[in-house]
Amino acid sequence: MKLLPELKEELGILLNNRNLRVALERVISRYVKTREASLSILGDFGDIRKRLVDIKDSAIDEAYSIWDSIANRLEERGTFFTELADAKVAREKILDVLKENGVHLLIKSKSITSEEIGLNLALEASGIKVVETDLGERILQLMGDKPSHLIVPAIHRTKEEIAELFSKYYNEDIPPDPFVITKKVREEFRSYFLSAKAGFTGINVVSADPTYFYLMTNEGNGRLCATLPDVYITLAGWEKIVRNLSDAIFILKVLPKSAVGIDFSSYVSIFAAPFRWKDGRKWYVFVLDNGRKKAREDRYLRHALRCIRCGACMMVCPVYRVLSGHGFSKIYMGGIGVIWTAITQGLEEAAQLAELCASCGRCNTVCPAAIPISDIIEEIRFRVGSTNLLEKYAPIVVADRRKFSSLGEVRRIVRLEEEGSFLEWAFKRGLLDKSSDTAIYGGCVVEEFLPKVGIQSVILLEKLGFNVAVSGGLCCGLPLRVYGKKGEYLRCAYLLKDKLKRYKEVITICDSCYSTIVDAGFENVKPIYEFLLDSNLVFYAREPYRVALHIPCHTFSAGREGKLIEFMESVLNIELIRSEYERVCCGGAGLYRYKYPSVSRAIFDVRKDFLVEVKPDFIITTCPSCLMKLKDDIKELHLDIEVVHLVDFILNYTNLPL
Amino acid sequence: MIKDIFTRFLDKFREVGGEFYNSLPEFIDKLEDKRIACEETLVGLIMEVLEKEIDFCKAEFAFVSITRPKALVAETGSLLFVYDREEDFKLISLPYVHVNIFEGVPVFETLEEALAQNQGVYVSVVTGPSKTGDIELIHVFGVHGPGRLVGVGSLK
Repeated sequence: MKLLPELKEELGILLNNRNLRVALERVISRYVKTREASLSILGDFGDIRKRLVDIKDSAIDEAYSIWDSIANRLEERGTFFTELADAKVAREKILDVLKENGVHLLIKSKSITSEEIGLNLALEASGIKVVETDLGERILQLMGDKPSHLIVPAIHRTKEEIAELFSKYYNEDIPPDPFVITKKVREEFRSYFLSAKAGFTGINVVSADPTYFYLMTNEGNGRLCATLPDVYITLAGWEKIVRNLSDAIFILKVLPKSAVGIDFSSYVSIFAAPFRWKDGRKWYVFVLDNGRKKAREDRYLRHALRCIRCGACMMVCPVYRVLSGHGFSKIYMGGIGVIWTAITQGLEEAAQLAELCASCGRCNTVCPAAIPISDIIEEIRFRVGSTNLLEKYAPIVVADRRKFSSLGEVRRIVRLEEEGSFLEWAFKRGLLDKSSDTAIYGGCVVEEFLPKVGIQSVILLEKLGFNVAVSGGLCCGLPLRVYGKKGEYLRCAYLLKDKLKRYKEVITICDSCYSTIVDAGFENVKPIYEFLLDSNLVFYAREPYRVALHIPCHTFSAGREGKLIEFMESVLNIELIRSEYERVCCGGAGLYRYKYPSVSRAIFDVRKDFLVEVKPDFIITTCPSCLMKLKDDIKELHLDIEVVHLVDFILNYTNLPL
Repeated sequence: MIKDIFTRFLDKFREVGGEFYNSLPEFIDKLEDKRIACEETLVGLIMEVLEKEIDFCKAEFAFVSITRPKALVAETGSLLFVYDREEDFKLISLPYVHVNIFEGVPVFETLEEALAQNQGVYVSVVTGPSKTGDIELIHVFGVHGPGRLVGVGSLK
């Protein structure tokens, strides 16, 4: 595994690559706008997920018998069928077939499964010329570069760079005009398509009955690779199966919508055995295991076999957004890439990537196959064990206050925001663990760094006439959970639940705590804004402040963002400055900001231009950890924006109802 | 007013980038480049309706191809081809302009219905022209497949 300083240097280079950042921003902000509308054609997102989970889970359940029947049907009709145990075997077998057929030129359509087995390098080393026919892949192939994006692989290259490349390659002056470049490539490729002895493609879906292989492309290169050469090689991941036609079509419909927000791909080509129309024509179907069968028996990794490779998870990933597929991948990119690296290359290889994940959980919310991506990453961290000093100690810090002062290392890194203790304050006022129907739970960040927010929440509720206690309990366990300390996390969550259950209703002032407490199975808990929303109170801001929200990742993953916005608009009567940036991770992510400060800062910077232009008076948030992070970054930018916790705003900038 | 199935297909076909003309001559007569390749069964019919001189050739050398899809799909605006001859694959893949005669072609409501009714060793579902956004997300048509996908209502 790579050492941390090396990785940090690599990340630094990536973060300074302005072309890459601008290009990614362009793809992602466009995607965010089109995806939801595009998917809604298929109905409710919850229903889409339910159907997709059912389609994939039922097929994976029957995977062995499904593949048996597919193999039989193919072989009956003269198609060659081979199972490949791992990457090495895969390279050898495919090479054998090409040699056997005297192939010197292979035309290829984009396939991440072929990248997984390192096919191109192996073939070229054996003297077989490989031509990537997808335009983006071709650009990267000629540049010796690697993809930064799953669907638009060369998005980090400008048209000027690409024109320069082709000018050299064709030895003529090619202008930086995508139309001219595309036309030139089209002309060149005609001869390849018509003369190549063999074609190669991956596959999007395989259905058992009818036994069909489905391939989607927008450029039309896939079907040319499949139909024109005499030898056609299909490489399918073992998990690509579904039972029938209607299941396959559902995936074909979901995939482009979820991937790029377009309704349907230009070309869906469907192949069935014998897929032959003349003598000498041969079809070879290869099915790759490479860890997939083992993953099927693993109760965490198994879920990832549902993946349809749409990449929606990357588009919402704050880390991917700044590091791209260059920094946050080992072939498979982003959060799901961490898991697929674990499946295909092993846990050790996945460890470093797992650490780069900021645990925001946004990927979980957009996956059309409902893969609990960030939970599986937590499990991977748990299995490999933490390697970083800060990670090792930080959970102890937040879980056990007494040990805190003895850990000078962490203390130096994590600066104390304020002195004092919320729980001590509550104890002195006789509120700590007192008997009452309702209690406020502050959480570790409030206790250690922002006691003011805890105190303000008590004062606010008292002013509104509520009789509230303050519940003890230091930590909900979230930091332990995200750093793979599963046993400690469960113990922590259990202890807290035990403390909270004496109250009829628990109010949280940190949405990360809220989501963790709910996950632990404790139901009588509400974020403070939801509590106030249900109390039918009306507040008015003292002045027509210009307010933007920062919706914490956990507010979103716990499905509370609707309530928060409703509260702001209908209870506080504020017309919010809405933007897509209100829901982009601040980069804080608990201790992540101390672990990868430059990545964390870059994640914040995604909204920099927006903030400079719009300059709201306030940014309001509901997570103490986000609050600290936003305050620090905004201070560094010298922007005149006040970042406040929601309770602070209500208490100090609104007229409380009497 | 409830639109009939063909009109709904046509709306979708246009939405995904298809162009529609009432008749074959209306479209072909305007073209400069008359190198045309077509399905064998269509040669006679096309010669009847196109008065001006046409240069019939193989798909590899043609600028325009003329085919008749096996089915149309209303929900996606797709054309469905079921082929088992290499010459036919080339017709739908190689020329820059791909013209389709819609006259007499059944329209199905869903892709599933269309595929259930039309099976073969190679089924190509075509939804709009060949496209890419690989260079700076700028949309370019006609990468490897046709840059223009055309439908005509009738031969004459």
